[in-house]
Amino acid sequence: MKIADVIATRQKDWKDLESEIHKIRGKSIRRIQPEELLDFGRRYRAICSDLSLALSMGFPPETTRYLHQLVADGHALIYRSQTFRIRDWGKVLFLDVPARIVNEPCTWIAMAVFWGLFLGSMLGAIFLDNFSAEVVGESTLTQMESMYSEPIGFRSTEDSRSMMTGFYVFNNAGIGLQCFAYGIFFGVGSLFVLAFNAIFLGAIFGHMLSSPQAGNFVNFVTSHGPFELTAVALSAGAGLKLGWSIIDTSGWSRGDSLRRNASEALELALTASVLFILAAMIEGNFSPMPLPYEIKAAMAIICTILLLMWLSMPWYLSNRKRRSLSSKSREVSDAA
Amino acid sequence: MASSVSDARSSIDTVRVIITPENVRFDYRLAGPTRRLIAMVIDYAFILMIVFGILWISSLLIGEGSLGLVFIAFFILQWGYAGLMETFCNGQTLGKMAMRLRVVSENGLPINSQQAFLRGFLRTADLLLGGSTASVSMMFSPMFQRLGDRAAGTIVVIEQKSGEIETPAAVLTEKVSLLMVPASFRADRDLIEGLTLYMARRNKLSPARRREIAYWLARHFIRNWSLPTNTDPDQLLCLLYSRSVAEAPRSKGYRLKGEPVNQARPKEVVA
Repeated sequence: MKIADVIATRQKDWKDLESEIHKIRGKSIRRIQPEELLDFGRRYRAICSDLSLALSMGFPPETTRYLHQLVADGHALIYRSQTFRIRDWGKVLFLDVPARIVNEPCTWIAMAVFWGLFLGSMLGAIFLDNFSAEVVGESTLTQMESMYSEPIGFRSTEDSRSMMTGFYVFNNAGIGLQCFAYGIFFGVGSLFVLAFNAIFLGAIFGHMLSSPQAGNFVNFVTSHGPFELTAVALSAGAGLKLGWSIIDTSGWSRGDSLRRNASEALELALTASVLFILAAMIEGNFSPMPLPYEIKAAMAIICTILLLMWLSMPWYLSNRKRRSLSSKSREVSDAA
Repeated sequence: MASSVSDARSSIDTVRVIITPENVRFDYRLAGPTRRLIAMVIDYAFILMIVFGILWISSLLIGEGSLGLVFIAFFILQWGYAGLMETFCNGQTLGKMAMRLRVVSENGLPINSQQAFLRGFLRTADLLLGGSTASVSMMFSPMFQRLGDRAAGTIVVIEQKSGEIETPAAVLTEKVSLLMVPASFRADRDLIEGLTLYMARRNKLSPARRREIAYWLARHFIRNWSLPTNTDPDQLLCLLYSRSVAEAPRSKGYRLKGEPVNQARPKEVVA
């Protein structure tokens, strides 16, 4: 049998499979008729052997390429991967991520670097004369001072609040994700963005605290501080995890190590984005309200408690599980 | 699970070889940087269009406060567009659809949402210094992977148009006869591959060019079978092709073995 004859006899089956693939693609497995599925499997196996035949007999290049594509499409349909599993999100957000934050050295290092530089820069701005002007620039400082020269909430309107919320999401969460992405350069990029932000923010804090506008400034920044500053450090921690996986591969090749760690780092970065968005909502809507400082501080304390509860959730749940397990085993032994 | 191999061919060609659990190997053609750059430009143009569209419509409808909405839309599009599109459109964004590209895992499977978002986020790192990090990464990768692709374990492949699978037919003129080829002749795999490649491109070449190219293969047969030196090399290859791959349509001058040979050209027949 000549090649042309083989192609001529098999061609109809190929075209059938092609149209079947187009029909099945995008359908969930439950909505495909069983006969359809059986037929698809049979045809796919036949095409696989056709491709082997094509490679060993030397079919014309166009035909071989066509078969390659057909097998690839079928393969992708049969071994399709999960897309979104919203059911798993709760577990990731409330169990996996907090446990990872507490267990990973990367997040602790990011926290330490951020707070160390932040406080250092703040003290520098308070006690050294020209420090804040050198770091931040004279014009930014005068702009900040004029921003907080009036009591908070003096000119805040519905429109400006929704606009500023949007802007904070866009700007802060964007910087967070950028900080994460730059972690791929062996973590150096994340550290750089983190250090820059820590020193910059520290200098502004130090300068504003020692300026006459300190009251207004503190009134504004207190409430959203816990979420936002945690999110900054968390983004950098996620980036550090990404970069560190290339340096310390624990026996894997660098590429494999990166791939194994990347999805966990991604979850950390996405959590940081969620924190950024929460912080932006507070910063846009609650912080500009003309309320006494005590209420603003109470908000900050509530946020901090929520964060701590969230971080300790895996321990709480695993302890409860262990307790219930041990009480069960006690019952079993009692019964015995 | 599917595994992949690299062999001599895939390391030279821009081809990724995949071996399926059915023990079949198939190829993906990898996409080069230019095609992907154009796809990215299309995507960004689309994002900008959407953002300005929202800005325009919402400023007409809502007024000042709509700016917050625009910021959020821009944030979602900037960071989520690629991830969402590639998750729900099986590895394609609009730009990739236009350039017939698709993102797949290194093992040939469709990508999942994590891979899609990871490579979307890391695009920022890839575009650092005008995309120089992406170019360096792609240059040193056998599979044209930018940093995001390396982290997510993905490759970008060119989608084949499913189209012509017609076997090209050999065109035989009266100058040759099947009897020129010894009855014991059997083409091996390499020869068949060479012949089919030649036949696939033959129609795009001028007759003189055909003879020139075909000569390098045909001369061995002319020498070994002691054919006349003025045998048309192109026609000889067509003859070999029709003997081993596809029957030539019967045309003037085409004869089966044993049929009386055209008396006008008895010299060309080697009995």
